[in-house]
Amino acid sequence: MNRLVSVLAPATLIAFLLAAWEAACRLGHVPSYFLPPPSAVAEALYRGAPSLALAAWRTLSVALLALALASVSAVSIGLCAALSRTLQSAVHPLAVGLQATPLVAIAPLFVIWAGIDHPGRAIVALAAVVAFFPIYSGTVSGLKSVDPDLESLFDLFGASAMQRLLRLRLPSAVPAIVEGHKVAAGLAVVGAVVAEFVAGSGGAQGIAWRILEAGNRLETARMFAAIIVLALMAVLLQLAFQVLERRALAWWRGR
Amino acid sequence: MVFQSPTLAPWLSALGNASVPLELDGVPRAAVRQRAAAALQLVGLGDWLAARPAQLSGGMGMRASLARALVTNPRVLLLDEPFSALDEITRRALADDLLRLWSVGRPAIVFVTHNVEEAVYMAGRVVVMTPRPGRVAAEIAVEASLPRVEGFRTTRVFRETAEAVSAELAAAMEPH
Repeated sequence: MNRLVSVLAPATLIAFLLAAWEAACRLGHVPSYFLPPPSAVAEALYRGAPSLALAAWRTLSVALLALALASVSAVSIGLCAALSRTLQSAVHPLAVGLQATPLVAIAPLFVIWAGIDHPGRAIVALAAVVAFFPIYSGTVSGLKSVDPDLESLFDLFGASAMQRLLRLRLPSAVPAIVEGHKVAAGLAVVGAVVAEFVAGSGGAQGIAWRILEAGNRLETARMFAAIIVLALMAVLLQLAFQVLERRALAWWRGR
Repeated sequence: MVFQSPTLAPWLSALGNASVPLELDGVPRAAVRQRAAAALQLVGLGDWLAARPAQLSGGMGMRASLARALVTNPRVLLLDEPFSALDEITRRALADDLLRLWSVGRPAIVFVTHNVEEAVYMAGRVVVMTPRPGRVAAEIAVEASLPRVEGFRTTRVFRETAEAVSAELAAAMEPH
């Protein structure tokens, strides 16, 4: 019963809002470049589905590639920082500064560096830069969150710094590192979308570029369709990472 | 060393946890597994080698922790209120098991507890400590055989020693 309500209630609300939107557009003669009715958006979605899916896949694969790059670099830098306090205090302000700087502001730099012929590189690099911080800070804080009693046991058994890192601190950090990846995955998509907007060329035809292109032509229904596909993609990615996180934690904890 | 809580690594099985001291010591792999399994067998966890700490009960976690402490055949063991978080039945079962384990190699065990009866049951010598600063206030020998005979808690020796320790403890707590 409760389940039924939790499905039906939002569905009814959405259906009602869509109907109201449709009615308002038709009765109020709203020009479709300003606000297309849901039926027009649905049509654009239906017609454009294959190419939108392809564009979404391009953006997604760029985001995932960026995530992989960020993961390798953030975890390894985090590990080095864990071994050396000096290195950690050296890296920390840079990492925080980079994270605090609005992404859009540095995006044009990346586009210049990548060169006009390779907007794809700029997009990967920018998405990797935003995805870096959550993984790095997850790694660093995870490596510190060791059970102090386990730590003194390792002291007692005469563990070396390397043994302590690999056998105690790294495994202790797994939950925090996994959580960092989940956050980073969402940010990588944001980074890819922002970079596509800034690159704004036909060289990188991801989903954000499709939004931009439709917007430039005042084809608002197609814009809506692309936004819906982007939102769906982001939600699915987030869900996938939630499942992955749960699995990883179950494996780590043994149940 | 055994703490108040089992203090096991959640990502390792019982066998993995009991292996840690040997692995850190550089003991060859095959010998590590074998000795760790033997230690777990000894504390009664022979059927739980692959279990993770999250799958063990409080008493079983404590047993695994004990196995990890015993695996190196230490000559001195420090147990810091190891049974304080357990229920009475488990606590008594573990107390007898610990005394039985002790009787094999007879390592010196320093057993910290706040429970007078537990102290008298476990120890050959009970040392009463003062609160901060912790100094030795009294030392009382328990004149009975170890491990304890069945029904030791009902004997006169047990009762009288427990009363004596309680009296010393009360005296030690008084501010001077």
